[in-house]
Amino acid sequence: MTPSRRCMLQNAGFGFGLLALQALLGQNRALGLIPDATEPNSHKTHHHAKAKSIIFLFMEGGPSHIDLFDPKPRLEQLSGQPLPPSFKPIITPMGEYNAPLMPSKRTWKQHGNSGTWVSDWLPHTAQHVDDLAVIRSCWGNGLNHSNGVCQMNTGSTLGGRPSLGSWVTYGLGTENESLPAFVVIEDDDGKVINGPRNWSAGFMPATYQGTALHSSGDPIRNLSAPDPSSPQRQDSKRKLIDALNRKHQASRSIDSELEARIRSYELAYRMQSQAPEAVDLAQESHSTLQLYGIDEKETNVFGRNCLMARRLVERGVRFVQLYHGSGSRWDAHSGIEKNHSTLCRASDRPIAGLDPGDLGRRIRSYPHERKRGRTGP
Amino acid sequence: MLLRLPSKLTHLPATTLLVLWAIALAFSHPIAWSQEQVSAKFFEERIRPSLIEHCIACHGPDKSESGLRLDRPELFKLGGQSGSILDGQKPVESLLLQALRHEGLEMPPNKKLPDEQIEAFEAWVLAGASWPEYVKELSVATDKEKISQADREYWFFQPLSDPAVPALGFSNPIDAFISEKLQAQGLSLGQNADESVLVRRLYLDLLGVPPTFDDLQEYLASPSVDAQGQSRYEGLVDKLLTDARYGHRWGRFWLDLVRFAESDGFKQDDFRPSAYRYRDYVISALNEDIPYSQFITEQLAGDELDPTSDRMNAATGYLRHWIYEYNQRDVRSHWDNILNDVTDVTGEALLGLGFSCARCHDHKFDPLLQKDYYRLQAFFAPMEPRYDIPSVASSVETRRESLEAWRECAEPVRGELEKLERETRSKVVDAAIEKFPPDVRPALRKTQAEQEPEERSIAVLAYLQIANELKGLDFSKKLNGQELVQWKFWKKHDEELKKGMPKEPEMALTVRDIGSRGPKVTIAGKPSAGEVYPEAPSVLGERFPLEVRSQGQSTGRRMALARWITDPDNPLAWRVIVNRVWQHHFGKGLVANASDFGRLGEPPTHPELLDFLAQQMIEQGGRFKPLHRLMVTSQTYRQSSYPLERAQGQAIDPENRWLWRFAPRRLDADQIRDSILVVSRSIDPRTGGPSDANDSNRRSIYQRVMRNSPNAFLATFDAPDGSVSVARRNTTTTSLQSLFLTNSAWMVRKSEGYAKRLMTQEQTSRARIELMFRENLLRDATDEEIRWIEQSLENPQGSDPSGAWSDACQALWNTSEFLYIE
Repeated sequence: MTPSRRCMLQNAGFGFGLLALQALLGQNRALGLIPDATEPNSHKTHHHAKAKSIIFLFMEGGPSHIDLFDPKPRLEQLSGQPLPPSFKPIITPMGEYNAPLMPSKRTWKQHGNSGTWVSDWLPHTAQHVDDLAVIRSCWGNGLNHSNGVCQMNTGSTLGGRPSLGSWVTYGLGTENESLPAFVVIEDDDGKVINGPRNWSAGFMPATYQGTALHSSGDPIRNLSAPDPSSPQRQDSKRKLIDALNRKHQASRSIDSELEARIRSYELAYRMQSQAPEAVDLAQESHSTLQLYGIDEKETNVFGRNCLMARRLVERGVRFVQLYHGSGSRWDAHSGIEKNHSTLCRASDRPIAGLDPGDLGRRIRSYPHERKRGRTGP
Repeated sequence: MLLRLPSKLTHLPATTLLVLWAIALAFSHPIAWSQEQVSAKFFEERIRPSLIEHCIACHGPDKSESGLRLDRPELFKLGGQSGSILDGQKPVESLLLQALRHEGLEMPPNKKLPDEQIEAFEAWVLAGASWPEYVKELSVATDKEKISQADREYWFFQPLSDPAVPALGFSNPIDAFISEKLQAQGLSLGQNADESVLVRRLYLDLLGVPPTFDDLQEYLASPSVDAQGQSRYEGLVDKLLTDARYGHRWGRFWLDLVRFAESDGFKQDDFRPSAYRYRDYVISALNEDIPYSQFITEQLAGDELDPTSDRMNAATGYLRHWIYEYNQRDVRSHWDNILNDVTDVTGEALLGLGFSCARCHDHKFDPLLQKDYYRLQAFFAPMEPRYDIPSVASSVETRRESLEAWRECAEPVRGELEKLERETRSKVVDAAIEKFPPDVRPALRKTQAEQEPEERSIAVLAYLQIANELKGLDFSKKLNGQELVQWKFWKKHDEELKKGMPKEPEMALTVRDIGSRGPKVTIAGKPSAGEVYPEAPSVLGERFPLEVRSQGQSTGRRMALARWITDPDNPLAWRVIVNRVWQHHFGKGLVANASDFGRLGEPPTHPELLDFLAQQMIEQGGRFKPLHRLMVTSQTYRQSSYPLERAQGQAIDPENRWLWRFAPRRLDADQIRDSILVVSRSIDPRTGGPSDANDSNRRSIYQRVMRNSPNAFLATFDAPDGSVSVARRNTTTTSLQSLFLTNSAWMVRKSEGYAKRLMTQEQTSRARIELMFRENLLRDATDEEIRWIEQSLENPQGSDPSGAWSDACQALWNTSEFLYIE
């Protein structure tokens, strides 16, 4: 019996909060409000939490779960019929109230020791099912992409709440102050629905907001010095700022914020050298690149992002969110065969590649924003 | 959803649950929670309602079956005939839980509770089944009984007191109130700040930008007391309060509070071209210093004051800042969300109460019933967003003649097109209606006159979507044969004619009531509980029977609300607004949670002063400027941030709760950006009008606010995104801010511009450095600083010396001295 699990899953960012929390309790390095609530009786988890970071793979546009992980045999039998009356009245965004049901065209197989069903669209991921927990009971109430994505990220269909990555960084802090604790990588820059609102800190301080990593130019906005040809110039500016700030702070030591500001410049400087290194795949071996599908045209883009994510968490980044299909590209409608074939092909191998030896310390997730129904034309 | 798990998830300890609850709760309350609060909240939300609804009828005061009573904590712990219902050794096997799980005993007997409720009990038992200390018994109470004596006596609901100013010999009553508390702590007001520090503080605080070096010199050169005996500082206060930039600064706070933005906020995030008029309204209302009661009334019910007034149509933009989803088929829920949003913001911003907590159940800590939430909502329920009222009424007049002339040419062509398109249009409309949920469709087929009040706003939202579909309709794909040929012919003419069509007037972002009769409002999910009417919250209701008088095409509800909120006898609004003003001057409110004066917030540090200020504001006709004047001329405000004698203050009150010094604070996003624009002399001084889409050189308040794509500068420094009401911005210190201030193209542009001018203006390094310090930090450079800058200039900089000057200038903008008010 797991008394509290469901209610936790429902109440905190669709469950990831729970996992983060285990790490939190295990490591006892929480910040902010959380220690208050755990301290008094020094309760501990019954086992040491291993997860230290999360790679959150967001398939944007809503992949059809009933064609990937959640086979529906009854759908075969009900093919061509209307929705059974046992269902409550439904609201669909496109008005297909009376469309007949349509079964999945996939071939299904059970995999691994767990016997988890996976469709033939995800042959690589299927090889790792024993490391996966498939949650089929997840629900949301966002009717459209925008509010579904918002809910999946923040727990609410309406904007303004902190995103999951913000909560995790708020709870766990960071292990590498020279890199942002919460990083977001889109497979198509600037296309993700809702934009930065998905990784915003909502009402929490901006410290906890996600930092978008860009695939071209500076990986982090404003990372490189305005005149990269002259490192001395940057150095001299940095020293000047430091000298002026330290002098100012010396007579104002009662305000620790001023000290924090001085430190923020040191961190920014370290980030300048560490961030490009963290995302530089040139150092990876050929077999690693191959593992992530970086050797193939179809899987190259997302493979690179997955490998980057791995490099980031290896360097202590707490939460990496990867978007695949940015711009609701998983939204297939009547073109599901072509759409999902292409997108599964593009993402399956890279995701399966995220299987390094120390995976035990990582949580990988594969959520999307909506529950798919299946009706025919 | 798929999770990759590190290891199998098994039992979780109850603390885990409580901590998680803390996280979930913090979703709604961005404040730190104590262990007691977390436990209490859990009990209130998950345990109490179940015990009352399912248990105490048989195990309570009326019947105590099996000798068990669950309505009082001590009886609960005692258990019944079968002994204790809790098992200290194996809590999971407690009798209570077994019964709930229907293992052996089956409770409740007829129907097992839903799993999540049983799980809540399990978690609660595992955590020790503790009852909050204040819960002595559970009972099913009537609305009236739900409000206890203690609730009625809670300080915030008491009428404003008329506190006597402590006789401590201060000329400014604020100082008397503050000193009294300081003395009680063994502290006293600290020394005054240097005048130049103070002048900078005052400029940034009242205008949002620093003074120029010349402003400062002029001030310091002026006589310290003028002919009328007024000090030069007071003279400066008066001068700044009449400066138009005051509205830019203080309007910002109001815009944060009402979550002002210029876009829809959903997928499309469509721009709202006339939203800026609300921003301009706020700025000019503050500059004119209209009474707060008028300010509120115009925003809540400007349409009822004068529906023909452009200004009122802009002011009621207050009711239009909700996020809008252009393709939400579930229009009913969408409208509910919109009303909830307006209710929540009004509750927080104007009444200082966390009404949103009472949306789904009675507020657990404050005497706000669920019914009270819908009472407040009922004031807004009759409103209808309008899309057909021009922002500038006269624009219709000026356009009329040219429009009529144009129509004369265009009408025949339009008529032909209309004939050809009619059938398709009507088919598309029919099909579009079918896309809405079945229960919505009948309303959409009615004429406006036939629609019930409950149907109107929902229909408006649906029609917007239908209109959108029509707009995107391509008739060339819908028509065939001869019709298509004809259509193409006329369409070509029409396109030509369109070029000469007088420009459509801009439409206001405003509302009207649907008519004199409002829709029936019920508690969400509880329609059988009957209609809820617009009324004041129960705890105050007896003192404020509201009279709603419909007038013309309005229910008069919002006017009644405005009158009640701004009634000088209403204790809520006036305390809330003076506290906001205090917070912005001093960094922290007398009540720390400026939008929640309930029990979840902190009690006021200086309750007498709070009431005194509220009384003062009312006496001054509800105007802001006399209140500002009172605050900023106080000695409390004029204190130094770093008094020489500070050991005692630091020891006794390190948080500066009692104000023994002026708390320094980082400039907020707008202040930083605007300050750099000012000192770099690149500021574009034009005010008002449409916002600037591409980061312009106008003040930050004139930059466009798109919810999904915030201004990079402002967002980096904690500017809110316009989704929810923000009473006080966060202040963070991050390395991304440092990266922005040292590397961004924006900063480079500004500093290069500055360096260029500096180099033409002064020829020697020393003169340049001196000027740079004066202009940016309002003081002379020390010898040491001059040396540092000179050293930085010596470093190899390539061929362009202006680069080094640009860097030096940027360095000054990166100093804490520049970025903080002290």
